[in-house]
Amino acid sequence: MRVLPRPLEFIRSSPTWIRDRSGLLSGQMIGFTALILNAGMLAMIAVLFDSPTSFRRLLQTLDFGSLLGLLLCGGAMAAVTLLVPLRQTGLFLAPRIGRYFDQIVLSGISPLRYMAGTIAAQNLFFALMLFLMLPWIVLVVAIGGMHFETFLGNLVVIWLFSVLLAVSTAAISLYVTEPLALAVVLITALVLSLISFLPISIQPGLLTPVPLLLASVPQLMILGPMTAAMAGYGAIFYMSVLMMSACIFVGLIQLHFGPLYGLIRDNSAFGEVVHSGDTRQRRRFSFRLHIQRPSEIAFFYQNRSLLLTRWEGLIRWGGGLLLLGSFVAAGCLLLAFAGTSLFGSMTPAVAGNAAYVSEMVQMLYVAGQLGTAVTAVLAILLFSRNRSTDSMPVRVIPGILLRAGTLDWLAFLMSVVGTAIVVSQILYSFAPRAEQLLQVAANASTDYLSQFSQVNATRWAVETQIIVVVSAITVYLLQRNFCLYFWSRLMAAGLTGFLWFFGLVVLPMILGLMLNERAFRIELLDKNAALGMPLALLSPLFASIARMGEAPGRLPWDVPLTGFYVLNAVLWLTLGMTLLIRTRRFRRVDDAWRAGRRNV
Amino acid sequence: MLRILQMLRLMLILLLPLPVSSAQVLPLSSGTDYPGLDIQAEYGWDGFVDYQTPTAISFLISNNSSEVLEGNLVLREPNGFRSLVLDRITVAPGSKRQFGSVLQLQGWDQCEAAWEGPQGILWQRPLTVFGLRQYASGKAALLYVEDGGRSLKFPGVATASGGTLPGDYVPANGIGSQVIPISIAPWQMPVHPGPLTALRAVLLAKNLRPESLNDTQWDALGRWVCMGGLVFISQQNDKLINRLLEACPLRSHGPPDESASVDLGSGSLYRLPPTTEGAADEQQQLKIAEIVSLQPPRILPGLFRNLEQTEWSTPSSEQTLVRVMAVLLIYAVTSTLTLLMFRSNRRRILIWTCSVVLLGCLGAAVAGISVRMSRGDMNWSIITEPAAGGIVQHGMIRLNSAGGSSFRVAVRGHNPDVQINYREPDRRGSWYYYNGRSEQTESWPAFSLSSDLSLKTPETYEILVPISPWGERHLRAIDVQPQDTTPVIQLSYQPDADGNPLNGRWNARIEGQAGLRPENLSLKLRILHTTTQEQQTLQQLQETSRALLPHHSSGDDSWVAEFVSAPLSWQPQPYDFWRDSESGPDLAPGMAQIWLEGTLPVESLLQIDETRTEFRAADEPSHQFLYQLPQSAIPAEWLQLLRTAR
Repeated sequence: MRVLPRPLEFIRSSPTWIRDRSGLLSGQMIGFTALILNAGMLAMIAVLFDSPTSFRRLLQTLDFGSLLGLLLCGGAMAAVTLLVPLRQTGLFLAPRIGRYFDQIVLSGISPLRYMAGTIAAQNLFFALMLFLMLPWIVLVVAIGGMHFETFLGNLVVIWLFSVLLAVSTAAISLYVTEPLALAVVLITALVLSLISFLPISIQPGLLTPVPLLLASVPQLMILGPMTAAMAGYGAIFYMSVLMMSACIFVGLIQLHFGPLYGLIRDNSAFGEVVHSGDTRQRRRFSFRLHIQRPSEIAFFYQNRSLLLTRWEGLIRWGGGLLLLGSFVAAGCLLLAFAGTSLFGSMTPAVAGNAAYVSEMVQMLYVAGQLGTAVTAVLAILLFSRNRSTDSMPVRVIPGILLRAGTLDWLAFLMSVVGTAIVVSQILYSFAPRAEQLLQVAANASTDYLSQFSQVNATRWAVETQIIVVVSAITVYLLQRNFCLYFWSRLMAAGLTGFLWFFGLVVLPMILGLMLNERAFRIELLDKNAALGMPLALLSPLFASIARMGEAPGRLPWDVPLTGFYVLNAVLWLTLGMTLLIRTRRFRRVDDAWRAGRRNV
Repeated sequence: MLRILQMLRLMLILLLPLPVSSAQVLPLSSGTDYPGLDIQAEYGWDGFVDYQTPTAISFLISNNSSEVLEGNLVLREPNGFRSLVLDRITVAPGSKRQFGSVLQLQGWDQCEAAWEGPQGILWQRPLTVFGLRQYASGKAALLYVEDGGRSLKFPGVATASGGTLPGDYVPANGIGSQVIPISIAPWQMPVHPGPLTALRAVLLAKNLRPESLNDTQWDALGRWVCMGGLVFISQQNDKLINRLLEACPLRSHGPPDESASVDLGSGSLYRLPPTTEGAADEQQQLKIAEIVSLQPPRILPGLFRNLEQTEWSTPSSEQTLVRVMAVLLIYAVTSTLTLLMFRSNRRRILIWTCSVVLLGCLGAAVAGISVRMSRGDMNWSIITEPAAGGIVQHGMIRLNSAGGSSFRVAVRGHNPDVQINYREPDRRGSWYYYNGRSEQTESWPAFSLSSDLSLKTPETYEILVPISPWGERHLRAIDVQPQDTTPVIQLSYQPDADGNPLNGRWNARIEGQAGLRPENLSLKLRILHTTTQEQQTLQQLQETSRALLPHHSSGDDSWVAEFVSAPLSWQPQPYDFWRDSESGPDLAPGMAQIWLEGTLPVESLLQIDETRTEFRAADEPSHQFLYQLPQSAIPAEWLQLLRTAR
């Protein structure tokens, strides 16, 4: 049986394991941990005893042993949430500040081995915490009233949570600096803990031990019931373990593969980023710390093992699609449920209220449109790469090698178009009922609402989605173009969003409406007031508003959107050509540089 | 061998979480009842479930099969984690069995009752634990017990409005309280007087047979009458009257008379004249409603609630708390001192840490065990009520655990009973100058029936009190003792010329037996007075008065206290926002509560059995005297003025 010893050797030989193990038995570590634990426990008890009335009332529904057991687990969870991510912040920060990170890279140690040591060392820390909690546990057992099995179950989940915190902090540290990663992890843990109190069926709070702690004291279930199945302690235990284990597994995969960050000529020197023309600049203008860190980590990940790298593309992009797909699936379920409830609640008395009916139906279709738009934004952020990574070749499956940019295009189109198709299918299924309701309601109305009797809800279902898809492709082309100029895709995304929103959404709409209203008071412009609406319709926002029948100036709901489509087609052509030319130029340079490296 | 050990180690780690998930094991239901089995079950009465009062749960089990059926009656919360085993029931073939209890199920969203036998679930049904109506302090509830399934409905109210339903009795001219009829079958009669304390009166149908109620139910009814309840029984049913008299532990001494009402303890039995069906029956029902409507509520529950909210000392509890906190603080400080060992080697740090933790564990174990073994604190008060035929003693026991979880309490007397309040009263007196009246209904607080653990000694009632460490529980005890101690009271009133019931002069003379001589005796009155102001609007004020009765003479065998021709001073009762804004005052217009209050220096007959009680009395017990005058003792001309004055 050689399976077991190899992972243990893998961890034991990690320098971070040796370092953390040695540092565990230090006065500062033990004293600080004891201080946090005991202070937290005593503070919680002091709060309870400070209000005798509340304390007695609480004790009438809870056993004191259960209460103290809950406090112990709560204290352990709080200590773990605060201290475990804190202990992970020295992962890259310490060697980079200490200027020995290059030695770590040169040693050839795999990143996973390097990080596995510190992740595994937090188990020792957890054991230390449990050891320091022993007197409290003995007190609770001596006083009595605690259910030992549930206490043990809580500890198991808290331990798993500590591993999850360690893995997620390490994984996020690959992309952002450790203090930022710490903040992200702490805030996410806090938010998920608070969400655990909400009575929702799809409970993301299962990633924290909070639902299980609540379930361990049945009387507290009134605070946050798991309405999915009003699950018992056992079911919540297994769900928590399953979800945490899955996230830990995903995190470990992420740690194995590392961030997708290309090494090209500009950042090919470890510890330095050199662009053409830097010799003519002052030294201080050639510090590029935002590129330096990810480049150094990219160097580090050159040491990674070849396990699963033949499937890297499938795992990375497939994982991204899966993540996005799960959000989309949840959103579509919600949309379908909302539509069914909406149409089910339309009693004859309500159906005559034209304003209410049209508003509700519009809200449903607009919600679908917004959902697709949010998916598109996430896809744009997820499936765009910066300057160094765009042309990086990636193995998708054994035998197929594609560039990262190409994979991004495929994934983006799959996610956006796929979402649009699914949402339009859902909205299409509601179309007959929506049309019927709108006809009944509109017939009773004489104002602008009467136009809704002519609405083709099928067209609403499809065309609103097409507007989103078309706009999304335009934005994506803009983003991809800017990414070729930026080393950070978030910066590119910011510029893209700004230009698109103000340039293509707001400006045509405002100008068109002002022109239509003759607001400029310039004779030449006033003469061409009729061009106002067509100009406004170039904006995707105004086009959607017009299609939903809410445009001013008595614009019919089925006004043609030819201008919008033509403009976007032209933008596609222009941006696409630019992207193609620029991409080819960069790829030529980068491929030549890579070929030169390989020959060396 | 090493590999086998490694495999075993791995399997152990993987199997460890399994026991954790076995928290809840629910029996499987077959979905159908046992053939020939019919069970009727109800929680509460006729849609009344009030979580602030004791609630009866009743079962009528009819075994029409040919087998003996036995099993546990269980209540489960389907989507929660709670279950309650009521009792093990055995029913012979072809027989019926009544089972009742008193339960507090607040917090249960749903409830399923099941009878689980060795062969599986014999019967299972959902039980409604949410009530349609609750008792209101300003209304009187009348329980109608009838075997044929008929309901009692008073004529007058046609449509529901403002909490009044068709069938309720609304008094004419607004004098008296509304009467809400509640109809039940005999099997729903409670087995303890507790649930009956929420009622003002009970009417037994004239065709009800004595054997429709079992002995426990009769005892409960009899005890409740002695506690101050009213029972109406038709004279046509002598057997029923005799059975009730047999069940009452107290009855007035002296030759039997033919008067319509008989005093039984603090309550009364009304013997209704015979009637025929139809209009005469209806007239009689209205007459009953009128009597009940004008009957004021009992003053005792309110006195107890005030007692429950007084402060009391808990020295044992404070000591154990200090002990535990000291151990934890010392541990916290010593463990944190490790921070200073930054120059020490690892061996020294390890030794220090292990020592601190081990000593901490030892200290925690000693503290925990000592806390668990500590006797808690106890404070108790007795209120003695002289009644027709004897005395009724009510005890309020307050317990504070010094750290343990479950303790015995035993009470000694003639035939005592002790129950645990479901929860302590809300001490809102410390918040926002609240008057302290949290429960609006004048009844016992809610409880779940605790059985007597000392079955061999009828003079003792012993229960196990589950109490959280440093938690507080309140108990109610009651005992009824036959004695000849009823005071004789003569109260008369001379009105003033203006006819204002608040003016005028009173004469009061009370004569009692030496065995029950109260001190600091005072006469208290409480009324709801209706006035008309200049703007022709009616305002209702609750006003009290208090007059000290000095002892005039005191002999060896008797005592007398009186005051002659004295006016009474009246003060308006403070407006209780929490009570009055929700349900209104508990006194209806035209009602008056008059009672005597004092302290008793003698030891009460109801005692705490200290040899069997695991609490220690922190203070001396208080013993009070209370006697609420029956309506017949209140001057009629004064009542008339009260009801007509504006």
